[in-house]
Amino acid sequence: MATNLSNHPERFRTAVAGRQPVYLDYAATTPVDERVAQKMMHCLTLHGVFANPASTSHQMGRDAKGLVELARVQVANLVNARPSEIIWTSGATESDNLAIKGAAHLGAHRNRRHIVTCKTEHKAVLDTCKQLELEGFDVTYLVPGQSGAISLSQVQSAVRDDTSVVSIMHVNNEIGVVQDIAAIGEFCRSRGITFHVDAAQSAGKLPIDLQALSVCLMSFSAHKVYGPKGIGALYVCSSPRTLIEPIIHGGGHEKGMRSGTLATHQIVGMGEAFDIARQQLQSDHDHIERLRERLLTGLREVGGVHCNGCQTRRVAGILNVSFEGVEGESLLFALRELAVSSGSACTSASAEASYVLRALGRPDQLAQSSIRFSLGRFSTEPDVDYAIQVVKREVPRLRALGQQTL
Amino acid sequence: MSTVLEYNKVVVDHFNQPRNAAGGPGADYVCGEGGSADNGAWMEFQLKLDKRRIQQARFRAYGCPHTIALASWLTDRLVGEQLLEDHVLDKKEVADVLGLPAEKMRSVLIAEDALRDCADKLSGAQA
Repeated sequence: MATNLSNHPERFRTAVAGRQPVYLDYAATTPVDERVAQKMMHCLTLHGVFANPASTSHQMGRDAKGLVELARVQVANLVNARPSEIIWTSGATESDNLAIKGAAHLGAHRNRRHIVTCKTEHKAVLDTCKQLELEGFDVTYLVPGQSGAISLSQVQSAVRDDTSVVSIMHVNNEIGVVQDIAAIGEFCRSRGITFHVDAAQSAGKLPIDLQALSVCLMSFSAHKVYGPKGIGALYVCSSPRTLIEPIIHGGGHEKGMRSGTLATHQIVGMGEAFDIARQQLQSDHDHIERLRERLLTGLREVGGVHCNGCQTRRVAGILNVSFEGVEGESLLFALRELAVSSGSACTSASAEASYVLRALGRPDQLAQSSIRFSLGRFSTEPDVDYAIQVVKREVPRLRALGQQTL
Repeated sequence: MSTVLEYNKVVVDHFNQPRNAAGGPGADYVCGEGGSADNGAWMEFQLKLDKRRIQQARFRAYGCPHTIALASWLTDRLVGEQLLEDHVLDKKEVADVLGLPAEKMRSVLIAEDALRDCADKLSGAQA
C-alpha cells in the first residue's frame, strides 16, 4: 500500500509563499550549464553517440571513445595535466577513496602504514581514513589554526618514516580557505610520500597547474563546476610515476585503475563543463567575488556577524558567517526562502556544532549559528539583495525572542 | 552539513508568529529559566500569578524551532494552571500537538526546569 502523504508534517517546501527559494548553495552543487546539457543529450539516444566507448570494433564505439578522449583533454587542460593522467570515476568521493586507499594499500606492501590528513577534510577523506584505521593503518589528523589553514611545519612534524600518504584538501568546502598545497607537495615529494589533494571545491575556481605542483593524486568532481552529478576524475601523476591499487575490479578500464563501462554522456558533460570553466575562470571569479562583497557588506548591517575562516587565502564563492545570539537550526528555518547550508545539525540531543568550525576553535554558540552562503556563475545581484533582506528581517526577530540579560 | 527540517503546522505557526514573546526581562513577573544557550536551548517563563494560579505567561527562548514553538505554545496552554514545585508537563500531549521527535524531547525538560525555577523563585519571594 502506498504511504499516505496527506498527513505528513510540513516539510521544507521548494516554494515558500509562491516564490522560488534563492539558490545560494553552489558549494553543495551547481546547476548543469545549458551548454553542457546540450552536449550530454547528444550522447544518449539511438541517433546520438550512445555506443560503448570500449567497443572499438565498430565506428559507433570509436566515435564514443573519441568523445571520451576529447573530454579527457578538456579536463586535463583546466589543471595543466596530461590527458593520460586523468582517470574517470563516479565523483570526488570515489576519487578520494581510490586515491587514499589505493596509495595506502600499496604503501603497506613496503611496511608503510601511516597516513597524515586534516580534521577539516571532507567526510569522503575522513571516513576513508577511519576505514583504513580499522584495517590497521595509523592516521594523524592535523588540527588547523583559527584561520582554517594547515601549516607546512605541522605536516613536517607529523610525518614519520612509515608515512605513505598525506591527504590535504585544496579548498575547504565549509569555509573556503585555501591550503598551501604547493609547499606541502614539495615537502612530500622530497620525502617520497604520496600527496593527495581533494580539489572538488577548487577546480574551476582557482588556477591549478599540475605541471608546477608536486601533487601525486588530485580528486575532481563535475557537479561543482556546472557539470552533471555522478561523474568525477582522479589525476594520477605520471612523472614521477604514482602507483595506486584499484578498489573496483572488472574489465580493466582506465588502465586497470577503475573498471566499469564509461558513462559517455557524463564524461562528455564533465569535459564540456571543465572546458567552459577554463575559458571563464577569470570572469566567473570576478562576478562571484563582486557578489560576495555585496553580500558580506549587507549582512554585516545586522551586527554581531563573524566571518569564519581565513579571509585572505580563500575562494570567492564561499561565505561562511556566524550570527551572535541566534541558534543555527532556527536560523536555517527562518531563512528557508534561501537555499543555504548550516554548520549545525541540531537533530541530535547534543546539538552537535559543525566539526569544521569547532576544529577552528569557534565557541559552540557561534559554531551552531553558522550559515554557509555559496555563490556561483548564475548568482545575481537581486539574489544577493533578497538574501540580505531576509537575513535583516529574521536575525533581529530571532534575537529579540531570545534576548538574555547578561 | 545536513539538517532535516521537519516541523508540523503548530510549530511553523508559533515559530512564525510567537505568542506572548516577552522581548526583555520581566520586572514585575515571576521569572524562571531552564537550559543554556551554550548547550543550544534556553527558555525563560515570566508569569503573572494569583497565588499559584497562572493568570498570564510570557516567554523568551533561544533554540531550535521546536524549542521556540514549545515556549510560545505553553504561554497559552499554561493559563489557568496551578504552578507546582515539581511542575510536570504532559509529555504525550506536547509531543502530539507539536509533533516533537524523540531527540527533541529535551525541550520539554527545559520547559519543566524553567517552570520549576519559577516555582522556586515564588517560594523564595514568599519566604
